[in-house]
Amino acid sequence: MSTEEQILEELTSKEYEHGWSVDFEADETPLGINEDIIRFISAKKEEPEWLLEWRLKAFRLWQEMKEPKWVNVSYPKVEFQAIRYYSAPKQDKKPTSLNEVDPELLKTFERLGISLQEQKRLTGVAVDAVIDSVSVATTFKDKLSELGIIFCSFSEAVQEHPELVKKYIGTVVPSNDNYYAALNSAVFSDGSFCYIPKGIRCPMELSTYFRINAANTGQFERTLIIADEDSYVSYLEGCTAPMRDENQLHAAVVEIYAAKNAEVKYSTVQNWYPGDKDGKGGIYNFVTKRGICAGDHSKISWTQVETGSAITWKYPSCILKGNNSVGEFYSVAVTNNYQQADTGTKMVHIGKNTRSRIVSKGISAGKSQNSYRGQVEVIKRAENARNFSQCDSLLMGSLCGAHTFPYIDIKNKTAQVEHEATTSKIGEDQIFYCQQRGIDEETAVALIVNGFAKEVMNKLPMEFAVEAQKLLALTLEGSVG
Amino acid sequence: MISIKNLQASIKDKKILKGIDLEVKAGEVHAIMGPNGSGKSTLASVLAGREDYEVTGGSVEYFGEDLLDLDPEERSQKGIFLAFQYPVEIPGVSTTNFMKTAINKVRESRGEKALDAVNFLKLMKEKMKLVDIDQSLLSRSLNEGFSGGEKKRNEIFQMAMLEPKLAILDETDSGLDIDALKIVADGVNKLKSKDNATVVVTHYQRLLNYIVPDFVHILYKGKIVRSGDKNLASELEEKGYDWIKEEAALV
Amino acid sequence: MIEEYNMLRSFEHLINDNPSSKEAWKMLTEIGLPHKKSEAYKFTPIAPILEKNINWSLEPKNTFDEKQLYSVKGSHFVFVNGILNENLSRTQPDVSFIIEEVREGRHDPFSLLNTSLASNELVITSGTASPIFIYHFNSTGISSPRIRIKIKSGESIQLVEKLLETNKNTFTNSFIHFEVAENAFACHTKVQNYGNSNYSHETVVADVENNGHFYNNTFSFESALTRNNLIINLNGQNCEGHMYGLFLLDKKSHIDNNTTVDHLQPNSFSNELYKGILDEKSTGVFNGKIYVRQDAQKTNAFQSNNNILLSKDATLHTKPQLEIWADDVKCSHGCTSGQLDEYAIFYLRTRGIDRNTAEAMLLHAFAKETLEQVRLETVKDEVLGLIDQKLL
Repeated sequence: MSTEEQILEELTSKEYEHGWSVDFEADETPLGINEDIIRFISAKKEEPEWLLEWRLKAFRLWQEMKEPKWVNVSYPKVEFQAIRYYSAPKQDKKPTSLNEVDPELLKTFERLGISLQEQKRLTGVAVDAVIDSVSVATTFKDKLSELGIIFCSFSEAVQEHPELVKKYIGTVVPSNDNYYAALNSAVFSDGSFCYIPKGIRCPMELSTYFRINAANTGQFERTLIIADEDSYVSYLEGCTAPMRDENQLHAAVVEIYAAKNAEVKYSTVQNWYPGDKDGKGGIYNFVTKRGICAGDHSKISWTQVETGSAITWKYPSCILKGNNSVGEFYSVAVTNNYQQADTGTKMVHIGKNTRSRIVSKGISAGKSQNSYRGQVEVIKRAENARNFSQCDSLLMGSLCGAHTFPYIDIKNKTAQVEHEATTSKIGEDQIFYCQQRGIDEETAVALIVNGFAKEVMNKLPMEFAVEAQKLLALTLEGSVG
Repeated sequence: MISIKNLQASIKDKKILKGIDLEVKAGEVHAIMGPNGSGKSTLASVLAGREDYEVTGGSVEYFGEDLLDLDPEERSQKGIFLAFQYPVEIPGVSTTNFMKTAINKVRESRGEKALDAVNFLKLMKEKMKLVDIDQSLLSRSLNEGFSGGEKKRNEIFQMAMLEPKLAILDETDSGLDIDALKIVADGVNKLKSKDNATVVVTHYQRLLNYIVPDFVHILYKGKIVRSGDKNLASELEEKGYDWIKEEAALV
Repeated sequence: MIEEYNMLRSFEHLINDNPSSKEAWKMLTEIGLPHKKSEAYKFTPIAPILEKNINWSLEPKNTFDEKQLYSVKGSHFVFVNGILNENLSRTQPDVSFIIEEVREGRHDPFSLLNTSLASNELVITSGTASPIFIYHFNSTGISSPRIRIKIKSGESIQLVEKLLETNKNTFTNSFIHFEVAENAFACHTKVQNYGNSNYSHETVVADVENNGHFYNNTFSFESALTRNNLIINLNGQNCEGHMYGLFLLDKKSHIDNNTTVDHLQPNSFSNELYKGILDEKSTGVFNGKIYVRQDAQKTNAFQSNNNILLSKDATLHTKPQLEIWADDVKCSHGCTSGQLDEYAIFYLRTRGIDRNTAEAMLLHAFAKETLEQVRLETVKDEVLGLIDQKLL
């Protein structure tokens, strides 16, 4: 066996670090989905009638829809009747402070490296922890509420701020938007809610940590972020799941609304369980994320580091409706073993002088397939739209694939759109140069990959950048082509 | 320090080195000269452990250890430094970050603790002065968009940082104007001590005006055909390589 | 569900009586014509457009016009309504050709349609020293020319193809296949300047073996709707595929350029440059696919598509697509859409050139880059003339 093969072998045998599950009592529905299940979920969450109706309407739409086929991924048919649509860690009553949260739960998050104890908190990060389907704890709530910022679980928002939820839910991602968005709209269980009032710059990073724990459980969280005029927020999302042989479904919806002059920065480090080296198990990550720059001069910026999931199907998008609004998408997607990722973005230029920027870095190793799929659309009245896209792929080994599908549709002559894509591999001369300076091959690869992804990594908030770098190195160490 | 005996190497079944003998001791400066294609750069690469070349015979002992058994990074960690003729570009990785990783790997191999940021920066500042290299260059992506002179100066800077026992300079003078050449040579001279050795691989004599060798060897068709002191280099400058070629043809 | 198009039924009586045609027709009726949601025809819903606009029962007209032929020494093949007319053709002694029964072709809907309807196939069986010109004089509802060019090892060919639709509301569905043997060379140039009520679907396939080179130049000006499917299979090692295209459109012209280059073996090279200038209510579509298969290490593939929109009613869809399964390759694609450089216009104006002339000059320069590989001066002059005619 050559050294190259050995290293590939080592790499592929590297186990998923967060792959353990914790046994605590869960409160859950039977497997499968029907209107009764939806009524049960809604009742469980003591939801108002309008929301139940909204869910049921989405469910009826979903039943008439078909799974999308255009994606460059293949997987066995998802048995929607074999999934559990609601599983909440059982708590005797709703905790009012962290002291009342099940210590087992707190330990779960400690093991993930996220402390919910405020005294041990990460500096300046407020965390909402969602386990299976339910938000279990939100830190820093009081401090934020002094500024009028609402940061809480989605269920809580339904109870406490129904008018806001009702006004914005489904306005950016309508429930009939696509198959998985419809499913989510019908059965979503919890998620995070965030409202930044006029003129407020949120002084800390807001963060949600998602974890799937129970078996056969789908996670369907829903996040809604509303940034009112002249406000700013930076929001982080992290995800992990235990190792299981079966595939688990994650179909989330994220909606962002940015009013005039508002800016929202949304960062994700996705590390769902990718399946083992033979492609067994792993999360199906079918997510709809979209933001609307509704007001003039507003800005939405998506940054994502995608290292996990067996299948990723995800296109965080921006609707640039306000004049002079700005949309950004920075992405690093790493696939290894049998992972498949089909990810990218959609920038819809509607307002005048809108700008968008897309930087996508795809890294494929093992037998994985990595696709960038993006669309830049300039509608007829979108004067002076600007877009720049850069899509680079790095291939490691000769059994993986890199695919680029950029769609550019322009109906206005003043548009200036540029798209560039390149493909490269890690050069043997680069590795040798590093080795000559005393750096071993594994470290050299990590160094080069991080260099390749740097432009995107730099966009992550500090707290996440370190974790993301570690993840990249972990997924790819030594994978030399 | 290093003892090369009857070293033979080939690339893709083409024999390049056909039996090299060379002994380098601490404190010495050796120059290896020769016309294009004589095997100079191959020798440098083989000593650094480049896998494209296959060693087909002979031995290399380095401080009593079989050098040919070691991985490239182990050779580096044990003090062998190759200044590349064509330094490689690595996008997105700054020289600073690169050097920090390298230094700490070398320290780790010696069982030393990693340098913290403060001490690393201190070391870097000190070595920057030595080769007169600009901070801004070090924060840019490694060698990317560097001019020829900047690349070579960066090589010498890295050499200063890693403090090798045996430095091999592969055509370090190529593509340098006279001022850059002086700076590079000056850096090399400052790094010279009684404990380390330098092997200068070059086609031209001009670098040897600034880095004065104790020994000069002429490599031709994969063999050292003549050895002498620095006067040999001057002789070569005067007469050109044809003289060597003719002589070799007679043998 | 296959969407039914009535026109398929109107072709039924035209099907050739040979096994390949019948088989193709059977397959076509199973898969159907591309419907509105077909990804490959997303921006060119060709079937419904044809159904609406083509007069399938058009009486053929005698439209041959000697003056339309290039006055260049070479072999001139004249097709009338999709069938080679040997009386009108004039060939050089260096060309050898035969007429054959149609054989199985590709399995996409329009190739199947061609296989079903083409009455026979012109097969040019060797390379030639003098250029070859193929003209299509089409005046019936549907014409299905079918051509195969076999270039033997070490030989070369220069082929210019021109379609002259002289009756309104006609549809041409052509299929031309190049077999480029080892060390062979082929250059295929098409000039598309049709009427504003003429429709075409043109398939060009090239199979290139070791060390073979294939060039395609496609210049599109006016057409109600033209779909170009260009497929280059680089089957051997050290092959080269070159694709150059210009679409300079006005009125309601609609051109869809769909190109695919497939690298199957190591060490091949492909280069693609397409430029679009869109004026008035025209629509330009570019979809360029590069495939690099697992065995095709050391592939170099480059693709570029640059566009300028001149009018507020013009539409552009571009999708440069890269799919790679080999790691030691150099591939890049780029595409841009924009307007003329105002600074350059200003510069020319400070030299006394009026705005219109300045713009025309810059556009001319922009367009001209795609002509580099056209070796026949007569054709080059013709295309330059058309560019000027459209721009000035």
